[in-house]
Parts: sequence; C-alpha cells; structure tokens
Amino acid sequence: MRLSELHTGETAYILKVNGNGAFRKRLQEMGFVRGQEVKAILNAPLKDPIKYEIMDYEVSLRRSEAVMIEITMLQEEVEQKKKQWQSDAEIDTDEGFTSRTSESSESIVQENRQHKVPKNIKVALVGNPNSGKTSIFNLASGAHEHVGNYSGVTVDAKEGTLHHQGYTFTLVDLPGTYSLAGYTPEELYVRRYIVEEQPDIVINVVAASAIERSLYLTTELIDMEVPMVIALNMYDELEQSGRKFDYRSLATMIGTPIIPTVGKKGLGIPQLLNEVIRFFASTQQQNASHPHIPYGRVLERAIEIMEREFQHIDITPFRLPLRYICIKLLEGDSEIERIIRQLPNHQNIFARRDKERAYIEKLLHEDAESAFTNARYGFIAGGLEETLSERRYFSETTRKIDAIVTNKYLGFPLFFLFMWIMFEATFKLGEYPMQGIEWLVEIIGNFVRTNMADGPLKDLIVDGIIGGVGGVIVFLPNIVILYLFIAFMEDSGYMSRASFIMDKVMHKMGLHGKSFIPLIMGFGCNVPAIMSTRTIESRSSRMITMLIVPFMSCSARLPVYLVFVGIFFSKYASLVLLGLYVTGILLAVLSARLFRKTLFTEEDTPFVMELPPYRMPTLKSIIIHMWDRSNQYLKKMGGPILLASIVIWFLGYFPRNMQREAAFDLQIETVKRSFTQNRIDEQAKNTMIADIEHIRMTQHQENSLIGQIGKFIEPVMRPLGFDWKISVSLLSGMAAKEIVVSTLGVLYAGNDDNQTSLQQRLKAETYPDGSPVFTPLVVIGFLLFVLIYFPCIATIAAIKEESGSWKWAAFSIFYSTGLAWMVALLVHQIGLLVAS
Amino acid sequence: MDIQLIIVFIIGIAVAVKLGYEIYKFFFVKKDSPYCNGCTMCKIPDTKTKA
Repeated sequence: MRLSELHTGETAYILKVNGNGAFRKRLQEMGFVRGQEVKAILNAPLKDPIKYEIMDYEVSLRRSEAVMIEITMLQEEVEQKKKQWQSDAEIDTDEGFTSRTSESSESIVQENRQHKVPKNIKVALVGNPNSGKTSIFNLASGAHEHVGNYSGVTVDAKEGTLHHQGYTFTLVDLPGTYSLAGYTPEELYVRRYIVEEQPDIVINVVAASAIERSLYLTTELIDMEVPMVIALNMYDELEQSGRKFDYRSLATMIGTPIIPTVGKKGLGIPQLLNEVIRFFASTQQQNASHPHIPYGRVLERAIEIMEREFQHIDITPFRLPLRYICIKLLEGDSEIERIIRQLPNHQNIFARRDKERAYIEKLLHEDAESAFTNARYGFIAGGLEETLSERRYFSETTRKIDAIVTNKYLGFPLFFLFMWIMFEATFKLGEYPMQGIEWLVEIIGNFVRTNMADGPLKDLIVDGIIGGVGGVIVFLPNIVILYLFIAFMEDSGYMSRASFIMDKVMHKMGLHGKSFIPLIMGFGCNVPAIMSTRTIESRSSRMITMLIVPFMSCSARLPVYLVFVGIFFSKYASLVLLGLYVTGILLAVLSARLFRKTLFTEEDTPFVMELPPYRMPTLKSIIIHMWDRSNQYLKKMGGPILLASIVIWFLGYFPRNMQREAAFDLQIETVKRSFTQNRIDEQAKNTMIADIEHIRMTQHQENSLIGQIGKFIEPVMRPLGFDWKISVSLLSGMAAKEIVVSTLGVLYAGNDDNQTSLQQRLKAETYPDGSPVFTPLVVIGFLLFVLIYFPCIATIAAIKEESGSWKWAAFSIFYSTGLAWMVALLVHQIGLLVAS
Repeated sequence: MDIQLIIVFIIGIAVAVKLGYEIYKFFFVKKDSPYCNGCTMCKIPDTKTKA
C-alpha cells in the first residue's frame, strides 16, 4: 500500500521510501523512516498536497510524492519487521552513545574556574527551521532580527554581541536546516560555516514540540564532534502536551548539556548562557571527549575499514573528524567526495568506499545513505523511549483552524478575503493619519512660502524638498498597516497554510509550494524575498521564483498606487489595489509557465514542508516588526528620496533663461499696469497673471535639463498616453519606486501661492489645450507600468548575487520593462478604441 | 551674487559628491552585505548587527 492511498484520519506505518537522491534523503530527514507511524490529516482545497502527522509535527506532501512511500496499516507487520531490521543492523538502542575517551559526560562540563580561559566566546546558533533560533538570538543579543512562524526566515548568517558574566559573546544566527547533508544551499552553508569558522560553541536549538525530528540534526553535529550545548526550545509546548521529559538523562547519554528554554518569553536564556560559559571553560581545560553514535555492527565495521584507508593521510587541513569523513563518504556526500578527490590516492579510497557500500546494501537490504539515516532515527527513538513519556493532551486548536482555513470550499475564498481586508485596512484606516501628515506638510510648505524671500533656495525647499519628500512621507501610516498584517500572517503560521493551499496552483505553474513564501514576502520588499529563494532546493525552481518575485508589488510601489487610486478610483480603492496585486500575481504565473517551458525545463523537487502549529504572535514581536518598517521608511526619506528629490529639482530648475524670464516679467508688469489704470478688474488681473505663470512654468520645465531628458524619451512613452513628466518620473523610479512619487511632486509643483496636496495638483494638471493629463485610462496604464517595470536597483543587485550572474539581472531588467511597456500599450490603445 | 543661489550651489555640489560616491560604492566597493546595495527597505540588515 502507498501513503497516497491513506484516507483522511487513517494511521499507518512506513515500510520503505522509494525514489532516489535528494528526494528520498529529504523525506528521511523529515522523519519518513521505516517503522514510523504516520497519519493523514487533511487534503488541500484542490485535493493536493496532503497534510500528514509524523513524529508529533505536521508536514505536507504532494500526492505524487506520497505514492513513493510504501506503508502498512498492520502494526503487527511493522513490529515483526522492526525485529528483522534490528537484527540486520545489530543496533542496540539501549547501548547509549559511546565515547572514545573514558571521561564521563559529566566531567566534560565540570566547572573549572581556577584556570584562565579566554573571555570571548564565538557561538553559532543552529537548528531546524522554525525552531526559534532567531527568537533566542534576538533575546540574547538584543537585536531585532525578523522572526516568523514559518521555515526559512533566516537566510544568511547574522551576528550580534552581548555581555554576560564578564564574557563577551559573539552570536551568529545561521539559517535553519533539517540536516547537514549538503543537498540544499542552507545545509551546505551551515556545514561550511561550522567547519571553516570553527565557532567555540554551537548552540543547537531543538524544538521541544517536535523533538524526535529535531534530534536528527543533533546526531549529525555529534558526528562532526562540534562542542555543543542544546537549547530545548518551546519547552512550554512540551509541558502543555502533558509529557514528561527527563532531559538530564538524555544529556548524560549524549554527553551534551541540555537547557530548556522558551525563546519568545526569554525563559532559560541566562541559564543557557551560563551553561555555554561552563562548557566553554571545560573545553578549554581538558581534552574534550567526543561521544559517538553507534550505527550497528555492519555500519561500524564499514566505518572502521574506511578509517584504515586514511591511516597514513594527514586529514587535519580538512578540519573534520576522520569518523565523520568516513561516514559521509559511505553516504555518498558529494561535498566530502570533492574534498577527498584532492588526495593523491583518492582512487583507492573511492574503490574501498564502493566496496563497502555494496557490502552494506547486500547485508542490510538498503542503500548506505538510508541505512545511516535509519540508524540515526533508531538511535533517537531508543534514547527518547527511556526519557520521554507519551503525549497526554492534544491541542486541537491548530486542527480546528486548519479545518476552516484549508477547507476545500473555504480555503481560497478565505485567503482572498484576508488579502482584501489587508488592502481595505491599508487604504481606509491609513487615510486618517495620512490626512494629518498631509495637513502638516501643507502647513510647513505654506510657512516657508510666506516667510521666505523669493529665490532659488526657497524654490528648492518648497518644490524640491517639501514637494518631493512630503509627497512620499504621507504614506507612512499605510506602510505601517500593511506590515502589521504581513507580520500577523507570518508570526501566526498562516503563511505556511497559504503555501499549502497554493501548492497545486504553484505546481501547475511549474513551481513549488515553497516558492509561494518568497512571493508573499515580495509584497513587503523584493530584496529579502529574492534572498529567501535559497530555501528552494531545485535550482530551476529557485531561478524562476527569483525572476518572478519583482512582479509581486512591493511596499515601495504602494505610495504610487495610493496617490492615483485616491483621486481616480476612491470609490473602489481597495478593489483596485487588490486588482493591481492580483495582476502582479497573474503575470508572475504566466511568466513562470513561460520560463519553465523555455528556460528551465528540468523537473522540480518534492514539496515537503513543515506546517507549524498556530501560535498567537506576541504584541512585542508585532511592534518590533512595525517599528523596524517605519524606521526604515523614515530613513529612506532622509536618504535616497531626499537625494533624488534634490537632483530632480536641480535638473528641473536649470538652465535659467534670463531673457525668457524677463519677457514673462514684462507681461506680468503689463497686466498689473492695466489693473492700476482700471482697464481690468482684480479677478481678471489674477486670472491673467496665473495664466502667464502657468505658461512660464511649462516653458521653463520643457526647456530645463529634465525636460530635455523627458522629451528625449517621450516618443517611446507617448503611445502609452504618458507625457514627458510621467516618463521622467518612471525613469527616476528605477532607483527606488517611491521616487516616482517624489519626482511627480517636484515636477507637478502646482500653484506658487498655496501648498496643495500632490493629489490635487495631479488632478488639476492639464495639457495646453485644456484636456487633463491624467485620465482614468492613462492612470491604469501608468499603475500597471509601475507594477511591472524594472524593480529597483537593490532588487537587480540581489538577483545578480543570488543567481551568480549579471546575465539574469540584465534579463530581469529587459523582460520586466519590455513586458510593462507592452501591457501599458495594450491597455491604452484598447481603452482608446473602446472609448471611441 | 544672490546668497540663495550660493547656498543652492553648495547644496548642489554636496548632493553631486554624495551621488557620485554612492555610484562609486555600488560598482566598486565590495560590501559586507552585498545584497542590499543601499536599500534600507530590506528586512535583512548588515551581517554585522551590533547589539
């Protein structure tokens, strides 16, 4: 029987995992090992993927992948087979961890304060994704790193320092990883970091809520002989489930200190740091003993034979223990194979390795890689059997919420409802504080206008700085509200469910459900979204995701939408906003399909994704998230946006044509004289002067440097209905999207006597024939262009870094800008045809 | 010469220098955090976050 045939609510036992390479390895690391109990929980709305419960946590798997797993529903059958497997491997789970030296684990951690030890400790934080590493890192170091209730939040190493008990800790938060097998970029990254940087202590963050699976990584770290302290995080969840865990006994067994912690509340952190100091001191004083995992007679013999092959070889440059090298060679680890190939006698080593692998396969009826994985899980099961009691209370909250939000009829409508509420709140709730800021900007603008003598500096301050920066800063409340919703979705665990229900759709696009998370992150900022594509195993899926992330409308584009939606579509603002975001998603879908069919035709990887339990986000984490955003937005106002506004103003102000200016001054003087001679009334005087000023400004702008640039590119943009000022704003928006708004703010400077909002100025803007510059049709084309074209310089640089080539960065520029032009052209021309 | 014009020129020179430096940095300076390239909207700060 296959796992895919298991009905919802049924339980079965795994007999065998078929398939090969990365696919099988990933499944085994996630706990799909022989003998393990698995339960089908529910199907996604489109019947695929399926959520399973295994090793006390929930994971989703596609139907096409579940078919690769052989199961039985008979417990007797699996019990019988277990005996057979055990006798094959001769793994005695009661044997405990072995140690090469005679010292007991207790003696390793004995305090030794008499000796002088260094006061700086470099600590690396490792652990499974979503095990709470970043929470511990933030609490310990006081940093404000982003945490979320889904996998892959940390995609790069981050460093922080703290002082505790006279010691200086350098904490390094590494990406979450289920193992150190080297199949994914994060696995390799973490392994290389540990080997090359050689941290003094590794804090291995183990999620107490999914302890069995989390300990798999621990077994690999033990094999690597790294000095390690285990932080048993989310310990409160384990206690709430009614389980009793004798973690002290397990710590003694594995020769590694274990400290219970609750990262989000900060419980256990001082004790953890004390233990790190104690353990560090002991490693400095004594020859550290290294416990070993017993792999059973067959595998141990193979390891021993392989060790003999290295008898006369100096392996110290590899900075890895010999036993680990041998195990990884037997497992067929490509990174270790690459290292060994550097040795002069590598042919002999590989020949011996191949013989041993064949020998293992013959005796154990499974390949070496599976044999090691099974042995590790067998060992963990043995250790936990003695120390961990059965779960007594089952939290139904996650199941109940999932039954609704992933329901086949309700899943998608609810997802779109959440999205709609998010945009409605962003627009409607944000309107009130926005009006307040707008009022403040007007007050400041008018104050400068009335109290400062006329001259270029006044123009720079009013039109350049206040007009440019003020046009963007008013949207701060909207950004904060958008991030409030994103933070809630991330921290609660709903983001993973969104990936779960979208997987089938993503699969149809030729993508992976995991690609959905970077895409959603792209709504915030495209740069971290592109970086988070590292969590996708397959290069082709990663590349496609990277190239379509820019179509996810980032928060920098929001001010542009809000300016125009507020004037032209105020009645349906939320729907129009949602429509823009949906258009971005649709274009991403179509582009992904196109890329899969043309550029990246290879198969994608399995959809194995952990579904964390729902957790109520803490007020603190939400506030940190929002504060970070507001802070960054404000900093941007004082940095690139201010700079760009001044540059645009300069380009618009110079060169000055004194002759033309004098001619306009003369015209105004003539009108004033006519008024004093009572030939015209005051109203006519004001109207005439306003007309002259408008013509003066239009002529000046058209002849300015920016006008010349705009006029140069205008022929390309004219078919889209854009005048030269719109064209220039799009050009300047290549640096950062908010600059589109600040440029419009500078170019559409409005009335000289009164500061009005940018929206009013844009609405009032007309061509010389009196027709409005911005019609709904032009605005739609413009908004679509902003949505689709050149993301921003930072995003392009991120694509270059992550893809490793300027080629893909250049491709992204041309593809997105070309597509934007085509879409805006179609919208405008079809719109004109329909209107006529 | 008009004092306002002088101030505007000074601001212009300062902005030009800053802009030139940013462009130079973008193309020629290897950063600790090469992904961000001056984008402060990014959630991932410099790799050396000091507490």
